[in-house]
Amino acid sequence: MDNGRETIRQRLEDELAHVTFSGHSRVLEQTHPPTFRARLAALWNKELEIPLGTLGAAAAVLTTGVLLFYAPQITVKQQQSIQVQERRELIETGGNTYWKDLYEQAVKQHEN
Amino acid sequence: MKIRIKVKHLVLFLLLPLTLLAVFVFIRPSAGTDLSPAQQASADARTVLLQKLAASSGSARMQLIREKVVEPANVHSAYRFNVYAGGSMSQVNQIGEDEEVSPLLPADRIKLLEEYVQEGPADYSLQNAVKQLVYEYDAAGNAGDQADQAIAAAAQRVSSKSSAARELTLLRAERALNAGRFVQAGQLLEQAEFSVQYNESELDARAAWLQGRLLFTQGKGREALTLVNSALEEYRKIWAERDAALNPAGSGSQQNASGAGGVDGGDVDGGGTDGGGTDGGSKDGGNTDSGGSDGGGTGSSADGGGNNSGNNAAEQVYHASSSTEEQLVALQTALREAVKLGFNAPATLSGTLTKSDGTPVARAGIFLRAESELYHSVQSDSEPYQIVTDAEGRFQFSGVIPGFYQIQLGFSFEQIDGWTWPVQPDDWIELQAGSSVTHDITLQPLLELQSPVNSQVLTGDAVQFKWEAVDGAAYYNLSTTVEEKGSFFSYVTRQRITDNQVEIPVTELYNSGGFSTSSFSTVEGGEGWQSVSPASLLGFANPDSRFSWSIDAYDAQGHVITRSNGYRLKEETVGNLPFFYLKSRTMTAADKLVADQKLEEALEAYRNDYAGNPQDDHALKMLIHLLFAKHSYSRDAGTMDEAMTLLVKLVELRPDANFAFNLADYYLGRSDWSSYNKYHALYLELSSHEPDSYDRSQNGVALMYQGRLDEAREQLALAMEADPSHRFIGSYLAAELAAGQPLESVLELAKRYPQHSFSQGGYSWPLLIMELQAERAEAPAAFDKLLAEKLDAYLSRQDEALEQWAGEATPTALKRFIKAVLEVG
Repeated sequence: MDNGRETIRQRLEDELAHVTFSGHSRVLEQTHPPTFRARLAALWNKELEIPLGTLGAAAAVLTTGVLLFYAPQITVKQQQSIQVQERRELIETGGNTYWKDLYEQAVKQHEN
Repeated sequence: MKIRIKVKHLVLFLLLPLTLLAVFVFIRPSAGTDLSPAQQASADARTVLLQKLAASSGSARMQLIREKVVEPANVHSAYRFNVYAGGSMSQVNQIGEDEEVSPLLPADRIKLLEEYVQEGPADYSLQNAVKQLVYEYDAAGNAGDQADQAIAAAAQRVSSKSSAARELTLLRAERALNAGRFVQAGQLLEQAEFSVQYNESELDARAAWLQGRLLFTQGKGREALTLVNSALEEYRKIWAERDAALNPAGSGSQQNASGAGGVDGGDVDGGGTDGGGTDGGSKDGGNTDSGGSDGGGTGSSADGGGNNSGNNAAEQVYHASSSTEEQLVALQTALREAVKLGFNAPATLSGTLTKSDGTPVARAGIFLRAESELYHSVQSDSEPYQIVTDAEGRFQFSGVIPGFYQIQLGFSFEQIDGWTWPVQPDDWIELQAGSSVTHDITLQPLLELQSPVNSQVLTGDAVQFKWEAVDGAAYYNLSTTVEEKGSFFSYVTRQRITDNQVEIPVTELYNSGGFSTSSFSTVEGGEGWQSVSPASLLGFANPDSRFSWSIDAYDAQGHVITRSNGYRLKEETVGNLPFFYLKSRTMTAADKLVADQKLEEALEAYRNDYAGNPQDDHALKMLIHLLFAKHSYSRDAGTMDEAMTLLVKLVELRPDANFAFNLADYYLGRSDWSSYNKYHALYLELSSHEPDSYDRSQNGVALMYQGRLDEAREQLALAMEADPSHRFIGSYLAAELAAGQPLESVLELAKRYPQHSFSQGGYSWPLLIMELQAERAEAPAAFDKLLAEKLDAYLSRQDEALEQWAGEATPTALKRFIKAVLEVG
């Protein structure tokens, strides 16, 4: 009887000889789940390896994008301040008095 | 090569700064909307200037204050505003290109000016600095009379007998006078009595101007007038001498003026007999042929010419060489009237300027302007009664010569933007001798139009107008405007609308304004009557034109509460644009000829259209309109008769109150009473409202001419109550006299219903009646007989004979009265 069990065990060992258990961490994670805090700390302390080339390229793309996006506004802003300093013309129409630029803007908005 | 970096370091050094930057960029502009770019620029300029000032000291600092604070503000009077608003005029002043707007705040200015007044060099800039400082104190409330102390301190700094010292003392005296501190004003004027080397004639004239006003406050009107007369004469003499010395050939407006001054001198003794401004006609014509008429004025001084004085006075104003002279002339006019009417004590006017939400309007200009001075715009260097509101919006004038006044206000664009001062042309303030009047002014938000707006294109048979309801409004008046190449043709289309909406049939719009039979606006191109503006003829019948409309809201007493028209200078206040297009009809071939300014051809085309279809009311209306336009140039009676014959037919085809009114008016002019009465009755029937004061006045006059005196007096009495301008008071007085009423009761009516017009002041009718009383006192029976005879001639419309009689031989009070009555309407 003992001999029989021994044999079975031997056979099982032989059959499983090439199978190795690598799921320790997964099992542990399921049985003892890490706290949120620990996960955050892990993420926080995670070390990233960024190739310098990729970083440079990303920075270049970002800078160009920002410049393209803001450039028109920057010039418009400058123009605006010049316009304000220039004289604005008053216009009397429809019984009201308007600044000509505001009036024309309003008319354009409604007549188109 | 690779970079190794922990996530936490990446976040800390890179992402966090980037996020902050992004937030700053996006949030900042919206958070900063309370400061417009211009305000931001101004705030920056202020910081820079204050830093510059802080970095300097001693005389360099004074120099800097002078250059950056005193001198820029001295280019214009402190009482210069963007917008001047009043019942009879409004005016816009744009800031010129070369002008620097000071970035400094009032508090900065006060501090710097105080410093300059204490430490700056005692030269002309010092006086300017004092004046600016005084203005700032006034605007801030002038607690403890800082202003007077500042002027006194500055006067201490200049040499005691200099013209600067005298000018500053006179400034103190003027302020004391305006504040009602008459004793102090008198003391200061005494102090200012010394001879100076520079500018003596100006300062003498100024001192006399103040002395004259002060004498009046002491009940010495006659002395005041004598003093002002001689000061004016002296001032003009000096200028004439200077003028002659500089220009020996002598173009001599001054010489003429001084000659005319002699005539004025004579008026004092003339006492109550001269006609004042009653002979009218001096509206503005005097400007063109000035030299000649001035000469005439001088010549007529020999025959005592009281009758000319009104004209002369008006013309001298036009020729006044300086603000000092203008001030003296204005005071002379006011004193003359006050003396004639027996006014013997000054008046006080005070009030508060607020917005309807209770916010006080600070730093606004208040100009109290005499009736005789309203013909010219606000001249801040010679206005006798001007003040700036303090932080609570308060203002006060003391020592005012009694009479009829109007207030005009000075605003910055920011102050008036989106608001209106609901003032009307007939809003007069009568300041009686010794009275203290409180006159608060409340600005109201502009009313908003709801539809049709924003260039909406309309078709259909009626236009549905809708606007914001106004609290307390009893009714609204709707006006429409046709605009063409900068010309506007406005009509009050519907009056007394009780709801805040109304449906107006397009045909009523086509009839807008009825017909003008006398004056037509012209445009370039085309000669004679063919230059008449197409827009004035086609009006709302032109589907290509852009129209606008407006609303005035009235309370139950007929006072304007607010209106839709005004200053709309910010995106928020622009609101709905009041424009719409009306494309309910298409133009006929004849209409197109009008639009192309081919009026003669259009006339024929309409004639053909109407002949082809006697039901074509549009062609008929346009035909009549063109005939009126043609008649306004040719004055050909045949054209008018044709137009009127056609109008009789039009009123049958298209019964409209405007047309009936035109017919009634026409038959009134021809004394065709049966036709007049018929169309007047039709007019009343078609009119959507109760007869207004003008309708009643006109009908009253018509009844008077028909000999129905009692009915006439009743209508005219009702009209006087309803019409604030009392335009027909002359006819009413004549009707009362014709009915046998005594001069005393007629004088009461003349006083109760003062008429204000360009050529006639509110006291002109009472003065005329008072003169009649004086004339009657000499020979009552003869006077009564002549009066009855002339009134009889007036009632039977013998206008030409009367005019001839009034113009010939010696002028009498009765002649002046009859002449004035003939000019009514």
